[in-house]
Amino acid sequence: MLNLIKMDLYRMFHSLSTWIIILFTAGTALFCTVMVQGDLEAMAEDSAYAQQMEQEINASNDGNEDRSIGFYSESDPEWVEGEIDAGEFISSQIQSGLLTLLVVIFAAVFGNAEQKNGYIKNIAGQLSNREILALSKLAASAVQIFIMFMVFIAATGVRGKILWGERFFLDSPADMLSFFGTQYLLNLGIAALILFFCILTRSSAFSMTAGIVMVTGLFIPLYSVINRAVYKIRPSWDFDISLYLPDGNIALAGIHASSEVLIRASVVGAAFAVVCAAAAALIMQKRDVR
Amino acid sequence: MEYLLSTNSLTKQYGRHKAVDSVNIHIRQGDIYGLIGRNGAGKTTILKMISGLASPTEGDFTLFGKRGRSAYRYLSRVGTLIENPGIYPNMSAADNLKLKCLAMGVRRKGEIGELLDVVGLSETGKKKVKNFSLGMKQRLGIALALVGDPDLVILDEPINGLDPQGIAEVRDTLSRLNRERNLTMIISSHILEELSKIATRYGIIHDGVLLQELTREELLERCSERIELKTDDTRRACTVLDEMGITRYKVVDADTIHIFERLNDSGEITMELAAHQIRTMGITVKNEALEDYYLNLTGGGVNA
Repeated sequence: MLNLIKMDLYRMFHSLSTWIIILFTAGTALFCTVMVQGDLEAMAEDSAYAQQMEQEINASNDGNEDRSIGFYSESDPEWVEGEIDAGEFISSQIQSGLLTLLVVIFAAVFGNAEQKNGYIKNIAGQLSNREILALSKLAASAVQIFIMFMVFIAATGVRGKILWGERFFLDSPADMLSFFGTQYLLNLGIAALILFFCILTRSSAFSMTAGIVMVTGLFIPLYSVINRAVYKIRPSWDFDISLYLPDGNIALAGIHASSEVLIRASVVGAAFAVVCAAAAALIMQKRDVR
Repeated sequence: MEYLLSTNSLTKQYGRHKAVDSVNIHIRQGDIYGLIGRNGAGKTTILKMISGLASPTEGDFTLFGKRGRSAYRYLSRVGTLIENPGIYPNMSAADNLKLKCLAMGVRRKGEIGELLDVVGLSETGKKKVKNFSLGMKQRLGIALALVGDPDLVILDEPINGLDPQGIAEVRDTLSRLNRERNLTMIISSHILEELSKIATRYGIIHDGVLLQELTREELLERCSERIELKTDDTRRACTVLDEMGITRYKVVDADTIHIFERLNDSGEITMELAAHQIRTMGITVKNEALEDYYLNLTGGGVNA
């Protein structure tokens, strides 16, 4: 297992796609800060817009916000002239799903490469347990996701300091850490799901498309149908499928979310990672290598 | 342990179609085993099963004396090149080899350099594999199969798509490895003529069924130029041949003798047999090319 993780890490760090994704992660962080700066300028000029933003942030912090299709982050009107909490700022950007989009692209490209170019045929037969081929890829992806989070946070921090100077600071490292851990698990869960799709379908196109559709919220109408169907069967059960999926929890688990929301999100992320990894490993072991 | 690898009624079925039907092949240590068959005959499926890449529907194989599930533990001693070489095109040859070394836990310093030397790719440096010629890619595929110093190497169509020079390069590499390392190889091909230049043992497969297994000598004997003598008394005919000083002959059935020398003396042989009151039913000089032999065995020339 360790040998395969070493192999996948070596491949990852020697792949152009890995560095492109990291570059895009840094670029996305810079783009987000520039967009927020634009937002703050707009709020300074338009108080109605600032008020609308305030309401959305309150809904988001309560965990009651309705998800919308696309990528959407909120800027706190207090940031216009007051202090900007780096934790809140980063939380808002990560909750938008932009970073998760890059995780999806990475997982689809990285997870399917071995099957696409046939390298898997060189090693699969010589392994007594072929399932570890799937697990090692998830382990390498976990490292890459960690690096992406670090790059995103560092790039945001540097750009925030440049733009807002002393006004930009980290209020609560502990909250930031618990938020980071929760979002990391959720993104790992999504990466595991994409790896599972790659192994199941042997198609990076399918896996990437499915992941993008999920992250951008295009499944929301489907979730709504499921919720309504469950409500018809059992009206007393206040069921919302989004609460049990990583994409829904990414949008909800902000830095100021309640511990209940963060714990549920962490459990959902971890459960997705474990179940998808186990399913991918099972397919890898049972199915013939093409 | 008589055989390094043998299959026991190995069968692979896709739906109702049997791609491989109860195949029993036998490979000894040091053999270069040529698996011959048309495209779609089932060669790759057999090789995938004995490489551990596909599970048999029925049957199993014995590897290094271990049969069934316990044989799978020894697959780490088997290097494979199945169909096209599986390589990362944006990496160098050395990086591709490094990946497999890491996966197999091969830590010996100089392993990668040696392997590149063996297949003649030591000068490729940081050149990306996507810029390699087909022959270079095939040789890299062979190098990948050799990582970890395996005892058995399985090569599926290693000369497929190569130009004559590329074919000669791969053939020389394989012959050298067999000679210098006593490496056992299974090589599949649909080009019998090429395989005949290196293989020491053959398995001929057609429509998933193993038609024949024979040694290089047996194949050459069947394909060599000879006089085919049909007579009503082979026992007395042999005595006459001995008296004539003919020693290289073989009785193949009750009324047929194959004579492998003095191919221009068929008239004299007939006269001598007549002098001993032995009737000659027919006498012809036959010369069956390897390809013809294969085609006759598999029943036609389509796609061969």
